[in-house]
Amino acid sequence: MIRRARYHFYRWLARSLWSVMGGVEVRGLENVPKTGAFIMIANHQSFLDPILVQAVCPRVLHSMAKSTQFGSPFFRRLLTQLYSFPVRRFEVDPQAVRQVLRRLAQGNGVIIYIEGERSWDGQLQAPRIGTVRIALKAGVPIVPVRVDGAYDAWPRWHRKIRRNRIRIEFREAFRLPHLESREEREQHVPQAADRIMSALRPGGRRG
Amino acid sequence: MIRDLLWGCVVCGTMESLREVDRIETCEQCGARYRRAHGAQIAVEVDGRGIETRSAAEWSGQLPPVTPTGTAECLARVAESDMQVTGYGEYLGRVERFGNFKFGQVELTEQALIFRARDGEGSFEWPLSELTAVQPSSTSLQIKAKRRPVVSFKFVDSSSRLWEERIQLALRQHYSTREIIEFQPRISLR
Repeated sequence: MIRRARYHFYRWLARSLWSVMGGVEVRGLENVPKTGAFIMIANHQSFLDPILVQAVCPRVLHSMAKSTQFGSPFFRRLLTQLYSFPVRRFEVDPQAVRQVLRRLAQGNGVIIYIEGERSWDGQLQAPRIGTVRIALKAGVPIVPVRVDGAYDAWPRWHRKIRRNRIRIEFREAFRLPHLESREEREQHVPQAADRIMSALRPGGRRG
Repeated sequence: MIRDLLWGCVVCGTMESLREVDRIETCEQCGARYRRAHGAQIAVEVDGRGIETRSAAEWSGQLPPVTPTGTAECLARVAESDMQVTGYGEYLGRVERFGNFKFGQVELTEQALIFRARDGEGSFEWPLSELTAVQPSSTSLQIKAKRRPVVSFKFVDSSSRLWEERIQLALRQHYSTREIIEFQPRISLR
């Protein structure tokens, strides 16, 4: 209860702070499932994406965050309060996969940034195949979310944040086939990756 | 820093030539000055030729080609142990604990990545055939080798983006008969 209250306080705080930094324009909230498990897959332009997507999404989002962010006691405490869990990106991390599947099994929404890293030049990068494998294994609805404007506000190569209006668009949810066998999943990876990435491109399906 | 994105001068094509002069990133070779313009656009000013402003992606397309070898000064640190992360009574996963940074020089050859510590604390070598992952993390670059801990490099005057592409290119040449389909969480070949 206290954890959820804290989460909503941080959401309010992020929305309030960004309202004086240019504001957030949100579209497609009707595409976020009102109940049940889903995986939200977003593009990653800036440090601002995870803060603002969680701030405007009506459902609590559990997020996969890089393990180095859990290095300091302050961030470790903050991130766990915000339903985040670590993933080690330099080796296969079965515990992170278990965390995703467990949280989905509990009926939650999990957000994953499929590019695995902030874009250097603002363009959509290649997907991390592990995310596609998780999506195929989970078999829950996929909600693509496209963030624009965050790169102009705070590009990876610059220290300073600038005022900018940020657009967050929740796009039409879709399902990938739920595949139990590893061989079947591996066969479907390329087309599932294409399906997800086409939904994340600028001007992709809006629902 | 703009040089993290643009590892070479887009005007004269010199690699790793951007240095901060009076808080403005300037090409040591031709004197072109680089500034952040509106939003995330970059303005490049060349004496006598005026200012040209383009998006980061457009300037990136003008970069000189990456080479699969090179040297750079850097800070390196090794993950010395793991730490268990828990939250609300639940085991969430493990997180690496890094040791202190060591200053030195990193060199990429056709066979290996080598780090030589400046203070005489020895050198470390990772043969390309033993690398299992190449992973950027903010402005650092992490590498992992078989049965060895993850190492994080922070480049002093160079770009982690350049070094990621450089090591990826070296690995592609190393495994020239096979295609690398991913570099993280593990290097996978087809």
